[in-house]
Amino acid sequence: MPVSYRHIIYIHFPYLAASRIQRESGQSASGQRASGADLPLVIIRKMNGADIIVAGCARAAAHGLAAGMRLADARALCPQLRTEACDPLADHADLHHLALWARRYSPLTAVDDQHCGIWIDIAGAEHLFGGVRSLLADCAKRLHRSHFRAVLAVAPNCGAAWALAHYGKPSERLMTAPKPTDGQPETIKYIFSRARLRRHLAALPLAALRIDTAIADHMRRAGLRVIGDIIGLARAPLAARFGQDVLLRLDQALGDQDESFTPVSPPKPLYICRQFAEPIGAADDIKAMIQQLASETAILLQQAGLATRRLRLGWQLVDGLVFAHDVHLSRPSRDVTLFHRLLANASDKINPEFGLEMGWMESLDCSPLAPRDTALPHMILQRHNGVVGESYASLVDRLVARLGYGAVVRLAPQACWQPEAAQSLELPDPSQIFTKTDEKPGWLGDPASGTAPPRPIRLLAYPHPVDVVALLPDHPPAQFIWQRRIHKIIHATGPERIAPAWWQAPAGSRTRDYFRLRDDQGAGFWLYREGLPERHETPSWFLHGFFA
Amino acid sequence: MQRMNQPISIVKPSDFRVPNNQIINEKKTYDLARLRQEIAVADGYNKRLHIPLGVDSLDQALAGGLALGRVHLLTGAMQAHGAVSGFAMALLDLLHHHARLKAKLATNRQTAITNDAGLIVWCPASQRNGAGMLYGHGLAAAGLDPARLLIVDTPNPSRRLAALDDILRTEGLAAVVMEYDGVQKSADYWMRLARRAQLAAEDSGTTAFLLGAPIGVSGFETAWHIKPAVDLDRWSHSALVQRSVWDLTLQRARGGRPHKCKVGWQAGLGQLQAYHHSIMANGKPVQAELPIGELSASKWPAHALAR
Repeated sequence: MPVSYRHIIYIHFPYLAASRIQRESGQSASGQRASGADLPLVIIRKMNGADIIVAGCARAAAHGLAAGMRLADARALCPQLRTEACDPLADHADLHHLALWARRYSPLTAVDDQHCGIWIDIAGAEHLFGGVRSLLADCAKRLHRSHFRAVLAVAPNCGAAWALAHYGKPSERLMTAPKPTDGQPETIKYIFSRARLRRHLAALPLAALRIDTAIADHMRRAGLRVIGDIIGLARAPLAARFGQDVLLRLDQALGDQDESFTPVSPPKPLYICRQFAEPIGAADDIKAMIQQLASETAILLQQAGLATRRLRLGWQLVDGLVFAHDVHLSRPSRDVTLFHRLLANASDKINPEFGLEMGWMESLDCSPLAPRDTALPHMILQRHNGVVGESYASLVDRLVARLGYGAVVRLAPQACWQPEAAQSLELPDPSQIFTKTDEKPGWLGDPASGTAPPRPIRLLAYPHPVDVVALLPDHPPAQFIWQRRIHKIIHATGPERIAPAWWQAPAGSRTRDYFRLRDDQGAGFWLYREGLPERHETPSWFLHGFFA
Repeated sequence: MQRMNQPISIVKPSDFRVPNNQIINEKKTYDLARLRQEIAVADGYNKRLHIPLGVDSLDQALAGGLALGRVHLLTGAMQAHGAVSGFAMALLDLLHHHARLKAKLATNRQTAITNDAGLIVWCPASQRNGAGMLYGHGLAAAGLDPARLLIVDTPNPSRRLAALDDILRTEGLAAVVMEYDGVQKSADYWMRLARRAQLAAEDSGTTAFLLGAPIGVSGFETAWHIKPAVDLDRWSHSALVQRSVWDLTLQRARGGRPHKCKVGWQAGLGQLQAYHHSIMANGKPVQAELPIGELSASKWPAHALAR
């Protein structure tokens, strides 16, 4: 009985494991290249005492190394090889992520672990992307941009799509597919009409039917090599000789038998919703609602074994308007007292107007609460006699809840001579409060660094222009006027010439000569002059910072 | 809270010189002061832990030194941003030095102490008002490791000030520096803030410095007025030694009396130094002013010219 017309995409990733390993090794050996970076990479697994290749990289395929080959034979073909053990869990995780990504095309996606592929059922969803062809083009473009080598095939049923992806020849009529760079064949194959299905499948080998290699060997010895050989044969003797499985797979491939897959389910967000029979508006009721939501969220997180870094409190008013308020945590937590404390002021942000009819709380950014996270404060307590990690994190959280997300910062040095760019404000990370990483640039004033150029303890965000009296051409100021006061200078150090980075500075930024000045009251200032006399520019003076 | 089990060694006999140069009975005064201290300890009044500042006259005026676990008020002249921040940094350096000494004595080890200093929460004034943000390179040169700082950068001064007693309730901080640069608040507001902040600081043992409140406010532990002063000894030091000199006026001190003095501070010493004019002529300091022509390029240190 013919099945209803639908499109199934099968995406095969031939080099998934190899690309993951290359990515990881490329990341870890950032300074020096791994010595085996240019050799063909094969992934091996020990089966029956021998090392068998399960996957390889593009170079290995070019040498003729295929899955199922023994490692010894492979080394005979290609002496210089790099081998890695196979990691089926990591592969499955990668494929799971890809299947979740593929949910942008259709909610029905599944993972084919054994053969490194994913299924997408796009029946009813093609029109959202302007047709099957543009959907395929979009998919191929995105995969190509993310550096995944993929083979895409679309067919009216699963079996045919699988067969085409693994064994099919590229289709003649191909439109704007991105061409892979190193001579591999085109990556998109498609069949739309069922009439052409038989014709295309007929030329494929029997292994394309997903039958056992042992049975396929039997059939080969009996003279049946391609699918076309068995399409016209009588069914009963075929089943009797080679098994029912062959017939099942043949029917699935031709579309006479239904085949479906179980789609992956996306991770459910943690979400608690509370709807009110009558809209609430009193402050006490709103506070109670927030507290109940927070308590239930904490319980839900506990049951799921997760901790969250962001809570979103949402509410809907009677007239349908929806608002949300985010609370950020500096460390993942599911502590209900912490939630209550951070949401203490949240009720001020709610303007009920005619009433709230629904309130919800979502915990975004969840992660499993690793035992390491709970061990950290004790580690800090033992090593440092400073702040206990827990109280530091809660201080940061309280300040952020009170003053806003960017209010609490730390100073970080940047490797730049321009004084305003030599320091950046970064968000505090509680796991790193007292660690020092060697790769970061140090502070200029470190006593260990020898003679350090003088730097002020406070730096103005925008240098203030000042009127200066100075002997030409390049003397330090004798006096300057700032905020309507005259400062006479009795001591000056300098000049320190700081030029903008010519390769990245915007046009118009000029070289500066910095002077460290002490005036007759004893206050210390850091002034600079822009406009060099030897270049015949008019000088202008600015005040940039203060010394102790 | 621990008590300083030291006798009052700050009262040195040589400091007692009244204007007509009569040395009064030193031993009697010393014993009297020590007796007072012991009675105060026995009575439980002397609950505050004091850190000596290093300048004897100042420590005397403060009745022991800078009180830990309290809120101190620092104010400065209109444009003396650097001086007030510098004095706050000097006091933080003192606290750090004291904590290290305490740790060393507690563990009784002569080997290198861990450099793990406590966290300092600094809430600078908003950048629009002309004081500027703290600059890590300068702080590091002045001896304060910027990695110890947690900066609360928020433009609204009232909200920043309102967060003070919340911050003071955290245990384990080394110090808190809060700057206020907003509109005038009523005396009532300051009194209430002072009371709340002092209670919170006493509970958690965190020392706090409040910069920018009006000087007339009572309720804080000490009230200072800081003015920068000229360092006439500058030319006898090498160019690399950075010393700051301030004119300090201790206007109010709980348990002490007002005092005025001139102190100098260098990074790393762990204490303030009494500043005396080294050049005296007829009892008056000599204003060593170099004519401007002296500051010509040829006299400047080579490393500055090499750029």
